[in-house]
Amino acid sequence: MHYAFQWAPIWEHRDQIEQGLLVTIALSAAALLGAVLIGCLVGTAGAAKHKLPRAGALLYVESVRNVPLLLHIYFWYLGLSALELPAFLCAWFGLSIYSGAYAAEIVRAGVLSIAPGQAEGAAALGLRRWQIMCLVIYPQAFRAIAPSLASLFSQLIKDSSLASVVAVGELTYQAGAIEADTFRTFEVYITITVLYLILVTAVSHALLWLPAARAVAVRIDDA
Amino acid sequence: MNRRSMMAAAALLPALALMPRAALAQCAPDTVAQVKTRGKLLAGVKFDTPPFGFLDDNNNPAGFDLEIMRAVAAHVGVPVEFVKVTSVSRVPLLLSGNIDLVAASMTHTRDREKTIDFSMTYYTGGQSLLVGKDSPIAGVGDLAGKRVVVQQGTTLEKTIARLAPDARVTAFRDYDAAWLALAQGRADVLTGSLTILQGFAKNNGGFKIVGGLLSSEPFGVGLRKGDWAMRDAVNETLQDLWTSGAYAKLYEAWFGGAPTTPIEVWPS
Repeated sequence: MHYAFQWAPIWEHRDQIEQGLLVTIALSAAALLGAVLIGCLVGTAGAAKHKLPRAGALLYVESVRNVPLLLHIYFWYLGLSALELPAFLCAWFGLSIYSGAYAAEIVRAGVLSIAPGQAEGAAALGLRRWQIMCLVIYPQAFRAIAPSLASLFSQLIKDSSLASVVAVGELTYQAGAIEADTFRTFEVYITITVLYLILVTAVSHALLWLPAARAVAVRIDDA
Repeated sequence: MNRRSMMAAAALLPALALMPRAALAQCAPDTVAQVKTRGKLLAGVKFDTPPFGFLDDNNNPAGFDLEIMRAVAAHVGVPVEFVKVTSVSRVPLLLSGNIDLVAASMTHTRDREKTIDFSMTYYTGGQSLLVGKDSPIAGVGDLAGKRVVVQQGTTLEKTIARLAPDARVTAFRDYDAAWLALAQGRADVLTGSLTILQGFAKNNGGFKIVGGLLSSEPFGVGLRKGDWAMRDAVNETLQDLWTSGAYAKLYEAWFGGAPTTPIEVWPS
């Protein structure tokens, strides 16, 4: 095989790759936000004392997590096609709801990992329920679950490539467009492989160095 | 689709990296000699694009592209083995030597010509519009503000952008996804190769083809760069098919009607 790599056609399409990378980052960041919000709500419910919120959380997690992400995205785009939601929104919903189920399990485990004495002590000091969660439980739980959240986010970035099926112009979608245009299959997929690799590695390491994650860690280590 | 394409790329990259340099160097471009030594022709075809290449009711590969490949194998004097390719895998499989040639309803373009070689045109397709039965759209002039879906990265995409600059065009990664968008009411128009649109219209009521032919799409058989022996074999086969009348029969069988564009025949 006389395969000569030619990177010039990829370079000529760099605006498409650049745009795809930006959409991938925007979609992943938006979906992370959605997933963490859902995760906090559902995860806290899953760690509740009462049966009803626990059952609700279990139902959400099991039903959402056991359906492929591709079908989640198709559900919003094609299943609810009457709503005419933009493709980006459909991908955002699909990714947030799907990853939210995983985030919920992480948050639930984090909340349950905090010794019950912490909440009891805080209650004895006269803190309200939301104050106990926000000031005592969540900050400590966050430290425990930061690595898991980082790996969830790196999973989410990779999962965002599925948005290409509903024509969201992210990295994988743009790669397909360039490939069909130039037939430089190897070059274009090597390029986006490297970009995903850099992006996911950078993000998953950066998350662990967030001031919040470190500050909490330091405070607890000092105690 | 997407997951499949990622997997194909992931599977092919290490294969390329691990290929010994020596093997690369001794691989002569004369594929016809190799095919004769091996005793069979490895032809890349699609299994998801009726009527060019698809699985028939008995799950056997069938289609116009496959018949052309059968004729090339007969011309060389060996049996044919069909290898399933996708839009993502066809060029890597061809360049790595896993297939000898590829007939996958590929439009011959100058940009693609920079990466692989093409045979002479074996089929001329044309682009048209598929709309709902009650749609007021009658042609390319009615597309302003309308939602048009098309297959990504194709010449079709560029043509519709040129002919209907005011249309809202969305390009999907494959025909099936674009078709679903139309069928679910997320789009007003699906534009694509007339023969493929006819396939969708035939299998599903409630849609009609309008607007006539918007462009001319020359399909070519894909070959490795510089593989002149195989390109000659394909070109000779195509001309023989035309002069013997076999081409017209194949055309009638797969598309209905007589060929719209003749195969060029070179004098002896």
